[in-house]
Amino acid sequence: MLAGVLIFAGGKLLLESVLFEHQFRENYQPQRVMTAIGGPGEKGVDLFKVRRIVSAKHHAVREPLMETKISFTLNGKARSVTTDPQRSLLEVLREDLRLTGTKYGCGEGQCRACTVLVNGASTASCITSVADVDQQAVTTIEGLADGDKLHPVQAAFLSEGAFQCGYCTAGMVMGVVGALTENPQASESEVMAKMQKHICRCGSYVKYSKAIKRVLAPSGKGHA
Amino acid sequence: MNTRLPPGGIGQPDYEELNYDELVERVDYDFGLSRRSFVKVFGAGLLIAVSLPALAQESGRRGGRDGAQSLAARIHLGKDGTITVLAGKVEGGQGARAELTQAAAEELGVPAGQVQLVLADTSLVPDDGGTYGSGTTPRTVPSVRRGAAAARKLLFEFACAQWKVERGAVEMREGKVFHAASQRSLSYADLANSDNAAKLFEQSVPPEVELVAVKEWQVLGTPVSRPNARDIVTGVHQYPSDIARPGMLYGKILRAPAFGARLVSIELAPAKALKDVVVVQDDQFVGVAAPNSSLAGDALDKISGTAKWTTAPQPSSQELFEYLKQNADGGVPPNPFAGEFAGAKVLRQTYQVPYIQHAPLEPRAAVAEWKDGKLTVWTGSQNPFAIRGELSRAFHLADERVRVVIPDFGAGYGGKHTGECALEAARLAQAADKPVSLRWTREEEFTWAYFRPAAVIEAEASLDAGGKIATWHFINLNSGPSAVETPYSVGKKNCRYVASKPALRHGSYRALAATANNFAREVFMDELAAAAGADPLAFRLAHLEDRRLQAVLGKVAQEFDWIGRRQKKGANLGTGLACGTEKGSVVAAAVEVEVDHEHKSFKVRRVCQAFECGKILNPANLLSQVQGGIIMGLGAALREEMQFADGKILNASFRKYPVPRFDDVPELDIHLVDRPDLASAGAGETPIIVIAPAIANAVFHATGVTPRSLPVRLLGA
Repeated sequence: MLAGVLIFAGGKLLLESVLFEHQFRENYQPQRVMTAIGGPGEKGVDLFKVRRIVSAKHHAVREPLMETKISFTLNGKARSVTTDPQRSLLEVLREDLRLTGTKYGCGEGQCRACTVLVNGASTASCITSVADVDQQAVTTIEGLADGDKLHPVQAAFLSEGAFQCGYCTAGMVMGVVGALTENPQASESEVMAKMQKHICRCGSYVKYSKAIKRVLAPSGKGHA
Repeated sequence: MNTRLPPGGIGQPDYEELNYDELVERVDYDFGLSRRSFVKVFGAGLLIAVSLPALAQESGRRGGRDGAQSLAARIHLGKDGTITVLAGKVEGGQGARAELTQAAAEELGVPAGQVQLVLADTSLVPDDGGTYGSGTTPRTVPSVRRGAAAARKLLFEFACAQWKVERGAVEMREGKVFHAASQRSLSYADLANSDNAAKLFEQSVPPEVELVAVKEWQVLGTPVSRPNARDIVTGVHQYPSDIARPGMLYGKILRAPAFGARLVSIELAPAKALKDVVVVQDDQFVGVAAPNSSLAGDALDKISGTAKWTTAPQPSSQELFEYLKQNADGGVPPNPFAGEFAGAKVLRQTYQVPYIQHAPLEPRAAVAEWKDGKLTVWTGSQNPFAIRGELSRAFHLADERVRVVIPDFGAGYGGKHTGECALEAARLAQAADKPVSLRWTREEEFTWAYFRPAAVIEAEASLDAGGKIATWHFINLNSGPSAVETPYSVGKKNCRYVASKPALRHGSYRALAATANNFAREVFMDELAAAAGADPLAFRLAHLEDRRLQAVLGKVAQEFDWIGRRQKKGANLGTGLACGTEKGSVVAAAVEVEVDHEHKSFKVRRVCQAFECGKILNPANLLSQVQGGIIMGLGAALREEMQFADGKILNASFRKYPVPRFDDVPELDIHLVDRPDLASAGAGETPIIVIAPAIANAVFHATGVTPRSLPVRLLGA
């Protein structure tokens, strides 16, 4: 069963089921997939996660692992949870830590409603195990504003009224923040290439694009 | 559990239950409410200036046109100046919250920010009917305006009586009534603190009350943003899937391996042996609840392999259209004009529209909590009172023992009328004796939520010597009657919807069957125009008497430069247009596509749309709705299609069912036509209906081959 799901690329395991880029898209880059699966940095693939995703995909019986203490920085504060390390970061954020701003949309990294930052990088928390963020820094939508002062990306989305139902909004905000954290000088096309991963089913893309333009050109130049 | 929607398998669809034609027979509700629970909801600081028994008698008329029959049921004035407006509509991203807030603020004469709007809590709000059919704008907005205007009238009367002055001597200014001569003012808080305020609000909302004239509007007609928008960008807003209750468990439901499968037996012991896990079986319903989702998933995994099922043959998407024709109720009706064709040019075509999914980004979710024999469910649905009815019937409870709350949720597009998730969560919570949160997975949402119906549409028309349509025969099989009638003037016509046996459980969709019927009709119009040797725009205008449709077509033709673009057609380019009317609004669109002959693919480069829905209430929100309708229409035109075989959905994920993304968005040129002389119509649906046909027509123009199936594919692709 596993053979059909796991493929090797560059000496590392890749999961077919988490190839979040559309297969028909030209900008599909295996390296970016690695980053998404393996989490940030050079960690590569977490086998706990592989097991978890494969068993979820194929309805195989998953054996819970021994509860483990996992410590990380969450929105600037030290946190630790003691739980099955295979659980997704998304689930632990929402159910154990009650940070529900991060949303479930698909469970396989396809829609990016679950985007959080791990060490500043935009990460799909639904396909990231909580074990992956041990000793890492996680930022969620709740950690973005400075008190009453919105992050510029939040402010831009708000002033453009960019969303409709808003369920994808937190993920969109985190996606843009992640793109700009990774490269503060990123061009509009570079940011938009990354935002391809995000789905807004209400089709608010035009207003989102406008809001992103506003972030990139706060002075108004180049702002349509 | 006695539900009519077996959670483990899909039985024969129940049309009433599915609410497919949005004319569901609904019971008359009669709910009670204690002052205590009311104050709890609104906060103890707010003193209610109305008598609560007035609320208790509220009941929505069938269709929910004007749920609030007393002023108290619509508006509460707090003694502290708080103004709370109550409505039975839901906010799923379509903009009801902003629009209803504006409606109330306009008539009360206060800024929008001063109005607190409570939506869709069945224990608090009047039954304004479900949120569908573009009904909020034409029905609930006027209803809220009348209530608010009546409240304002009371304030005027109160002030005039206090000051013993004539009505003409006072005016509304900054949310207060002013008497200029004496420099006195009175506010809604003063009215709330007056002795007989409660009694005044017991009166019914007068059907005729003076409303603010459109030309005087200060709040309506302006781009007021969603009142809770800030909570969306900060992640603070709690969607149904975010609701948490003390001691809450997380649920998972055993799903059948295929549609029509019946559970014969299952071994529950392995799950029951797990610590802190609750396992429930109630006939076909099997579910578990545990302290977190992983544990619930593990528990379900332990038992799902032991389940034994019987299966029944199911149709597949390969044979879908043949199946729908074979099962047409009474057969496919013949063309009654077949004997009148002598010498005429006759065209006959068949169009096919597949099943698709709404796929709202928030899958179905519900939190259920039982307390003292009463059930409260927070869920995402377009139909709060109908869900309450489903719950009360399923659990044999009186309606007043069930409370359904709909927090602003992650969209529906016609796909969230039913309460299956609420029922499942409630059954788990009943067994667990703890609150349970049940969130469907994406796969469940793709598989077990109802689908937009598939259609086979047979069209036949004859042209007279002058190139006008002499006879028009148009039959929709399976998908529904919306827009089955043609808006064009034709000699004789026979437009009908014929039911078939649905291959999947189907239900409502954005604009219902109008997406299918407009696709077929508008593509057929282009084929007829070609047969008549006429330009598609000229051919349509020659058959149109509806001035509003003429106007939007004309607007699009002008803005798109239809004649210019059509004439200077490049080798790989094509242009197409379509128009239509639905739910009291009119729309036209022109598109340009670029075809890649080598790869048998195409891209939509440009969409120009003109949309008119009477007087515009909120231009910013309207623009969002039009953009959203276009993008959703683009998905259905380009890619969306459910694939199924042996009772299984084969593409139940966003990877296999690719919905539009940023780079699919063409250049959009949208023209919102404001008609202050016309009543406002809803706008959540109609903008979608012209997109697929305009694209198909553009592909026809580019390639010479008409696409007659959705999604649009090039010949040989």
